[in-house]
Amino acid sequence: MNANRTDGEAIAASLSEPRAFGVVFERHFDPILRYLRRRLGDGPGEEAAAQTFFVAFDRRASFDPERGDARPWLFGIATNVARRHRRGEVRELRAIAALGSETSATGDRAEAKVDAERLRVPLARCLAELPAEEADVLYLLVWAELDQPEIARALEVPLGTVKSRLSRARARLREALDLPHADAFPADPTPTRR
Amino acid sequence: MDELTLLQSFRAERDTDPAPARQAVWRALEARIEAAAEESRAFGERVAATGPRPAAVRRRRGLGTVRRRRLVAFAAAVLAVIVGGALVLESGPTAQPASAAEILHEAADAATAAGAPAALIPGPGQFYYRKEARLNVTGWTSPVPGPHADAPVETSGGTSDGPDDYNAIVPTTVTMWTATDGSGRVREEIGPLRFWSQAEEARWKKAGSPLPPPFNPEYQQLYKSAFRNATELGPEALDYKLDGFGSSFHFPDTSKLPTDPKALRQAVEANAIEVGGFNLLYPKATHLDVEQTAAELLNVLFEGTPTPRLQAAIFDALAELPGIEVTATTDSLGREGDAIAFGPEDGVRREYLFDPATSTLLAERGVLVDPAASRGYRKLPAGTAIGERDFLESGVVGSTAETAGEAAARAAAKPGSEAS
Repeated sequence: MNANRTDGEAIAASLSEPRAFGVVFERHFDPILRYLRRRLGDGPGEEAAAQTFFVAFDRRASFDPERGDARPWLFGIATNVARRHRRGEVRELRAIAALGSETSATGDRAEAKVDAERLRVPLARCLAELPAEEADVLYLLVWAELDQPEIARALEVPLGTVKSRLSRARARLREALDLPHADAFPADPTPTRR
Repeated sequence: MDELTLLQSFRAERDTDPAPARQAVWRALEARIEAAAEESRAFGERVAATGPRPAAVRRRRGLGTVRRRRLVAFAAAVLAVIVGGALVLESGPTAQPASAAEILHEAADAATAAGAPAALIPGPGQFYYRKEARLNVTGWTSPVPGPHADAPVETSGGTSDGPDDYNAIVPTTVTMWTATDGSGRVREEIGPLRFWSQAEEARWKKAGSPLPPPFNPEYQQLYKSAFRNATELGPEALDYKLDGFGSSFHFPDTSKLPTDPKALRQAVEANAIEVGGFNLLYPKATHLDVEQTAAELLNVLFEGTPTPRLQAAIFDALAELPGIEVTATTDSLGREGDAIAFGPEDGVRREYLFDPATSTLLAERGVLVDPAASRGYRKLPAGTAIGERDFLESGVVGSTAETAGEAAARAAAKPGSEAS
């Protein structure tokens, strides 16, 4: 029965019945972990994922059950947690840009894709220099697979702000990567969800 | 491939099995949930109770709650160690070894005596200059695979074992000139490679001594876009122009930080709190723990451009942290110094080296202490420095052609200066 609850119902129930929060963890831990690992690497990503759920549990009373889906709320917390690691995140990207290489998370050479390798250095360089608020929107779109209204809810900013930040971030990337302008691509850049 | 597709594949190798992390985090979260359930149950009992309980019973219940909270806190702290890497510095009221505190205070005194405060923030038309000697354990492939081959040509995260792969410690000298808008110049020069065995070196020579990226001309040809700002593209030296990204680049300005050690510690802690996510295991805490505080102070030292007074305050603040340890060591250039160490994490200990006599920063490095626990260095001997940056020279200069030494000489020769 608990498994059938919406996120909002589970979180509301967890206020008097804390174990009900387990459903929320089960549903959303993996995507949160994937997002934070992409941003921060294995160790810091896992630590940040743990912190995200500790904060979410401690602040669950602030979640509006009417929202239903807790994903934007959780990714908002995860993004705040990731900001604490922003300095290390940028340092690593700059190292890739400067050295043309990256510490491999797995050491497994077969996992890398050379197509991406070709543009990885200018990409890393651009990501390192992106303003944090633009980087957050970009990462939430691509790595967290949130759509733009969900990003607005996650960051608690107007939808227009998300659109303008995304537009600026994409323009910077295209310029850094020598890619064609935006009108060559579909209007809605939301990636397909896995 | 558009920019979003490219970003989707960027660091895709990090998307590994989440199950072990999920289990570890769930154990800690479950402890937190159980503690909350216990509190909730106790609250329910208190509400349901009619009439006052005997004092002894109330005391016992209160004691039990406190003990459980401590256990939960301990479980959460253990999780931080498991998933975030070991925390070497002790927190809590442990007395600090006097020698470490003395060394750090002496370093602070040395910083104060180093001269008049002069922040190394470049003004208009000026550049922040830094020269470093670097060592990196690197594995690379030659001949370089084609652009669509399903293999990278280099890894700096471990050694490579393919038939066309070579592994060595690669020494480079990197010189950087950076303006406040991010523009400037970088020059990289490669030194003699250091192999682990004569047989490996002989195999490499037999193959024509192919250099590792980015110095390998095959690699430069393959990844042209990465070198589009190069002004020199030789096999032994690379020179790049940095074009900056306008106002999005933030030069580290430490000039507004307090120079009183206690105030400085409070400032870096408050900064961490403002940034958000501070001490999330204990949201009501009002202080960073020792490891977090030390990391923040060292960040100011390494990433900013502190004045001598600020540098002194950093060392004084580090000296007052309980449990911090300082050990004598030498950097790869043979310069003697002391190191503040963290870790190990994934078998690698991080060390920050400074000269206690002058408080000058010497180096930062990662030292392999447990090859079996490492991600890509299992075949290397313990004690290998897998990455090291030795700081050679820094200062504010007037152009991307000038060194710090030349700028200092120019300033000294100016009419009206003490040296003239």
